[in-house]
Amino acid sequence: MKSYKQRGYENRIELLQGTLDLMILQTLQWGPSHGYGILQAIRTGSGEVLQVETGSLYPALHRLERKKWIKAEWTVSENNQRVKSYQLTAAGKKQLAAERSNWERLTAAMAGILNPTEGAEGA
Amino acid sequence: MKFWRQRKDEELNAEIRHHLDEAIRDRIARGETPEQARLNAQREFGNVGLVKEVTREMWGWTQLERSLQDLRFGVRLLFKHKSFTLIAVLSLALGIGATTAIFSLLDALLWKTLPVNQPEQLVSVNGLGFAYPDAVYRELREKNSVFAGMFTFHALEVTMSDGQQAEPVLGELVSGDFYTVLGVAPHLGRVFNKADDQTPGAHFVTVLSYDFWQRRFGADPQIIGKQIKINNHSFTIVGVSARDFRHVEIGSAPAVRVPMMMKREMLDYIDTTPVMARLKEGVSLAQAQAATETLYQNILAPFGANVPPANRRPIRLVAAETGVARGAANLRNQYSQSLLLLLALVGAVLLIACLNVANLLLARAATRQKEIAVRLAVGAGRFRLVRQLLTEGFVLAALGGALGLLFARWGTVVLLGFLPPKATLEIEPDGRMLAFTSGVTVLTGLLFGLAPAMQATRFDLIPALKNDAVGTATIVRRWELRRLLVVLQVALSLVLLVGGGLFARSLRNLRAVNHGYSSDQIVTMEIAPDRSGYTAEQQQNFYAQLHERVAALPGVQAATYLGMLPLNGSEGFEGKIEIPGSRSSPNQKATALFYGISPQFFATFGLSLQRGRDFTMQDVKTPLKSILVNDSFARAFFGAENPLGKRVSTGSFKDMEIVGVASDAKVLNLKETMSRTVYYIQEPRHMGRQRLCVRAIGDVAALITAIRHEVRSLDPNLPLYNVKTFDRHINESISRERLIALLASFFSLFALLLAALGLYGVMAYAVARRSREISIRMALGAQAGSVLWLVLRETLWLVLIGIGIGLPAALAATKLTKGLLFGLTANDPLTMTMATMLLIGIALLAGFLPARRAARVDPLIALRHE
Repeated sequence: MKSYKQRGYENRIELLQGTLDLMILQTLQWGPSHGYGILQAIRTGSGEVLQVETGSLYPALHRLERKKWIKAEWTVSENNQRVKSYQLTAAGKKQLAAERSNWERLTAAMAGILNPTEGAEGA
Repeated sequence: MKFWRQRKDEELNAEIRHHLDEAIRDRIARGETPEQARLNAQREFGNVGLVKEVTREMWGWTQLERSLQDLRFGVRLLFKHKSFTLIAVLSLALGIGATTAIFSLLDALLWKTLPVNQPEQLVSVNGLGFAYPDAVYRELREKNSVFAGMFTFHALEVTMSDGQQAEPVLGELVSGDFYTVLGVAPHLGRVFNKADDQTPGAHFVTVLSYDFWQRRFGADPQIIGKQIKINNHSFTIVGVSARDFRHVEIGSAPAVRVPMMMKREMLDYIDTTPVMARLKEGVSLAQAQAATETLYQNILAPFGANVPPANRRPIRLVAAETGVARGAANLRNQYSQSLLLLLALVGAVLLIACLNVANLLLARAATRQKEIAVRLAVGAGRFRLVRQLLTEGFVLAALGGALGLLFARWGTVVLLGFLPPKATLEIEPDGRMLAFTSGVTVLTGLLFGLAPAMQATRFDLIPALKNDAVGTATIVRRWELRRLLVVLQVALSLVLLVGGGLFARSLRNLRAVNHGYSSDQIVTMEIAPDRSGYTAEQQQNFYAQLHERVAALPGVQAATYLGMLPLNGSEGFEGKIEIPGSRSSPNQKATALFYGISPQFFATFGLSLQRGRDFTMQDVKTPLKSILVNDSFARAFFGAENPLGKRVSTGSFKDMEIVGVASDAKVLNLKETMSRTVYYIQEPRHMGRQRLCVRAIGDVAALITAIRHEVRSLDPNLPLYNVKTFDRHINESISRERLIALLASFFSLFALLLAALGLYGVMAYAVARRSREISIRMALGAQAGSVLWLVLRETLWLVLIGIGIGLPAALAATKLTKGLLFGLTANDPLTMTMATMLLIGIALLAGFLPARRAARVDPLIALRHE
């Protein structure tokens, strides 16, 4: 029943979800930040390679908030504007550690697959 | 929840605003102009609405919230389109209401289990088709090993009095373990036990039904221990039975129950009673049947050849969880086929109503196409839209269902009015009825909501957005679907019209039947002095005095007593006729119907005496000496000979002399063929309950008052009941036929109206769609008549296709009417033709209105509009 298009959309979301979550949690490790701040941090941190869309960022933030890995606080900026700023919770820190190790295992495995000769040469 | 959502929404707005502001500030800091910065920031951010939408999804709640949103939107739309909503809701409500009403009647008649303990264990011995002598019942009860208990019961009319006012009610004789085997608890006091049913004529105790206790005694909590009179005997009220429990016999609702041992006091002189039993835990019906049959044959064995053949018939156990129905003319047999047929009929009407609403929704979807296209274009999910359109459908269905429940309550009252006067069925809105209604409602909602919803969202956006209302592929497709729906409506309504026509004509035939009586101006009423303690002699005196007084009243032409009214649907007594020295051939079926009457019967019922004389009071003293016969009898047995003075014998009655010949009249029911009838005189010592029948001159109502007065002056405590005219009695005797004819014709015409509406809608839309084409034709010189024909031709095509489907379907469907029609066959060509002509006529009318509008189009205006 599902159209090809719908399935494609789902795959993209799934791929992004884990990595984006990890990136957000990692960014917040350095201290509380708001949506725009997180976006800029990811962009500059990746050397302008990763462009996170707002349509992905905000759902992710709200989802993580619901999972209680991050919590939001309303503050007032120097321009007297209400700012929603997010920070890591204890559960979020645990999650970050777990996802980091997952990510490292994944990248190591990917590296093994993508560069099989490297390992052979090194041995 | 709404506030929670509003707050969250505001927060999300603030969050996004802040994001944009930060982005703009950054860009300005990097040297962009404020205007540039704002545009670039917005472009970078993307579609704000979409971001909000996908972010909201993360909040949870949204599923429910969306449903509520859809609901609000749906309700708002329905309010906006009032006439659309009104037509849709009313037609659905009528359909749902009618199906619910008929369902609840059928449920009470056929399917609902008795409100007793484990009703699935109840069995009836031979389905009450046969009654057993007390001795046999006792043997069966004592010696069987398969039943947890057995009981007998027998309902009959009694006169109940609280000392002030006497009234006839239904009573029931029950064996001592009736309540305990059924597992019916007392509401107040106690129910009977075995000790209450030991010695004939010794147990003056009664248990009232809950309904009767409510109605007659105003639910008096102090009722236990009080005395009431039943058939003039004082009984102590020992209990009131459980609220839901009314009967085990469908259609009867006894008000008072007394122990079986009080048979004689209840004036029941029949020594056999029907038997029911409860299966032991774990015993199957088949096991019980085999065991009971063996036991029964053992019981009969000692009697050998003395057992009459009728009693040898094997025991057959019948599951009785839904109650039992007794006799060939019982309510179940009489009404279940008609009601099932009516259920199918109103179901079809409901289907037509659904098709109609689907059609209207499709038409509306067409006008909303642009709105839907816009919403799809800005990123609304297709599923979301389908769901929303479906929700609108369900709102319609729910409104229809709710109103339908109201209609159903009213409808059941109407339906119950068509049951025979002495039958009672209690129909209260209950869980089953509610479940049925909601089931039907959901089904209808799905039926008319889904197709249009799927259809409405499946089209190319671009042409729809371009405001091009003409000629897109989607519109054509939807158009085809609408035509298909209309064709189906036409076909279905033809089937219903044929059915309605058949039943209406059948009823007309019944009404036109010549029954032989001059039936107007006859008043009949029941009276039962035996139940008020009159001895046989007192009864005779009473009846003689009453007759004398009534006959003397002004406005009375003749008066007579009858044990049984003519045309009351009972089975009657047919006897074999022997005529000493008769020349009738032996292969001719020499039987006649025997009907007991009193003097003045012929004068009262307007039958003419063709020869001889009426019975006199002298004949009453020597019953079965003289008889009268009807014309058919005289012709069948004596041909042209004068039958007066001839002798007739039947069974043990020998040599009865024919003293008169009366004109023919139907005795048992309107449907019988005119039968040979022997009138004999009722023996006064067997009188008991009688029907006083009076032929009035002038005002019938005033006469009834006068007769009541005479009865009261003879005995103020004697209830006079079932007062009605003979015409009404005849009408009641065909109540089933009236019910089915009335409902079938009403709903078939309603179906026709719906189909006409559907047709009108489709044609009106077609005309609107083709207005440019029509204008061009007219501009090029086409006459109004040819334009008219253009549209009518299309209508006619739709109708003819519908008829092509409908006629064969009708021919197949009318097979279900077998046995319900009188004086015509199920494939009656006249009815078929009339139904078809009516359909074509109405359809052309429905097509004519839009056609005329098309023909009146001013081509200049229409073309300028483009």
